[in-house]
Amino acid sequence: MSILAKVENLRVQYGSNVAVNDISFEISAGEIVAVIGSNGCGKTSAMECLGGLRNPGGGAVAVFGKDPRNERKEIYHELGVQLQESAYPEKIKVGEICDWFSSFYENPVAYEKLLAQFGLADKAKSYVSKLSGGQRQRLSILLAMLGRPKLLILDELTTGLDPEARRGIWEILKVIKSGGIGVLLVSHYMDEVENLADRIIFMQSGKIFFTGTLGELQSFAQENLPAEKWNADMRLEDIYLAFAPEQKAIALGELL
Amino acid sequence: MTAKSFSKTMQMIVKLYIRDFASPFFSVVFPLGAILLFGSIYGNEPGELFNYRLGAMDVMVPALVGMVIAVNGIMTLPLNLTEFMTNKVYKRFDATPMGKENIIFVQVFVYLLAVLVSAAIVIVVGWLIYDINIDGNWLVIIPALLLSCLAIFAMGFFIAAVFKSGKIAQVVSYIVYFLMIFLSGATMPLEIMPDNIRTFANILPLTHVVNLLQGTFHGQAISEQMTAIVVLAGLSAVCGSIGAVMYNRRKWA
Ligand SMILES: Nc1ncnc2c1ncn2[C@@H]1O[C@H](COP(=O)(O)OP(=O)(O)OP(=O)(O)O)[C@@H](O)[C@H]1O
Ligand SMILES: [Mg+2]
Repeated sequence: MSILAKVENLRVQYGSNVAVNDISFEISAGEIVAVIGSNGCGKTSAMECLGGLRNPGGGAVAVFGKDPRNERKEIYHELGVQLQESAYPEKIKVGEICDWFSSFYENPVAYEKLLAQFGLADKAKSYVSKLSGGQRQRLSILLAMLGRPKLLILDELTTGLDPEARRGIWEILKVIKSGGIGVLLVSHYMDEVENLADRIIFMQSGKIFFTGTLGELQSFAQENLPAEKWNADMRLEDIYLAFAPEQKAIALGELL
Repeated sequence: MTAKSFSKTMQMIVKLYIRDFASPFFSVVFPLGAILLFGSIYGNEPGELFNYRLGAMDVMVPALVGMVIAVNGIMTLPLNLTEFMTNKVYKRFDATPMGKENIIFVQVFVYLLAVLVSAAIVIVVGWLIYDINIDGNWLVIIPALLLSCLAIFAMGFFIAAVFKSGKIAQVVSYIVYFLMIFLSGATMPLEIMPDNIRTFANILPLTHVVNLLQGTFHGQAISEQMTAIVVLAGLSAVCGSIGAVMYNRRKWA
């Protein structure tokens, strides 16, 4: 399997806050890798470095063997991203933005078909700013796929989607993967990760705490969790919570 | 950027420009309204104010062309650039083979085109209805127009690039715009203003644009335009280079 992207000893720092602290991983063709971890643990910062949208404070990033900072436009011919934080012009219609983005690629997918697949066919003439949150999310994923990418980076891909749309997108991702495309996704939905991911990257405060398959994570949990916390039929979410940093207990009475 | 992505982007930026309403209104409708309104009041007979040499419309049309440049260069340009920057629209384009620099390039190109189209409309209407005098040579007028655009667009880009906060840049561009269109002779002739305002007007770049355009439209010698030419060329160089340095520092990421 060919390696599509590689991150070595990546660091990202905002002032004195080290958001990503010396992480390394790679992603190959035909696999889905899921990045999980608490809010603020550095997932988006790492994804943006991969996409050349943020300057690493240290380490090396390569996408298709190229440095995304120096050859950003080149890599985006084969890299599709859905960003957690970005927007479209206010007064543009769904069909127009698809048409516009299509013009950036040599051989784009016919966006009308994608609109239908993403349940947006009847929204082609609506302004993007008038879409619901979930519809906008679907549009973002659609635009990420428009250029027939070899690597897809999806930051919180199904946040805000209804259950049927979520399932629909899972199916699409499975088809994409079978076509040899690599997918790197960030998700807070553990059922999604269980269902899709070939490998899991579990981050905690800027570091990779665990990386491997779901089965390997289960063994890792058995070895590393105290006996009273572990049991044989733990789901991913249980394991995640068992390892996640303790939430400070608040006296709930204070809320009332 | 390919021919396909350039023409599609241009088409979309034109659509956004028209849908923005304020830009086409102030660029076309407002100056046309001003010509028709003041024309119906003053006509274009040479009067005392302009030494019986020029009529009110002869003077007003090139001034309104100056206003058109200011609308697009000081309002439309920085407002749209900072909006795309603050809302992270540019960030999304950076995640495509197009990249935000190409989008910015097309935006500037379209706003420049808007100036030329609006200016042409204003001049043709002035000529058809009031038979305005254009004694100047077009081979001089057009370079003067382009130098004016360059200077005012550089200033607009400077405003967008120099302030860290897009909101502040927007407020500054509104202030500069309104000061300039009222106090530079672009909408009201300086000839009717009190002396202290005329002195102040001389520090406004748009005043030099208006002087240069009126001078070249009416066939004055280039040597009489030297102040305006030097000021505008200097402004282009200073605002353009500082703007570029600040842009490179921030990258609008
Ligand atoms: N532009 C920024 N400027 C300063 N600090 C930032 C910036 N972006 C992120 N941070 C900080 O860096 C850390 C990591 O943020 P990041 O967005 O990478 O987290 P995340 O894992 O994607 O979180 P989430 O699950 O909430 O999306 C956080 O502490 C955040 O406050
Ligand atoms: Mg994030």
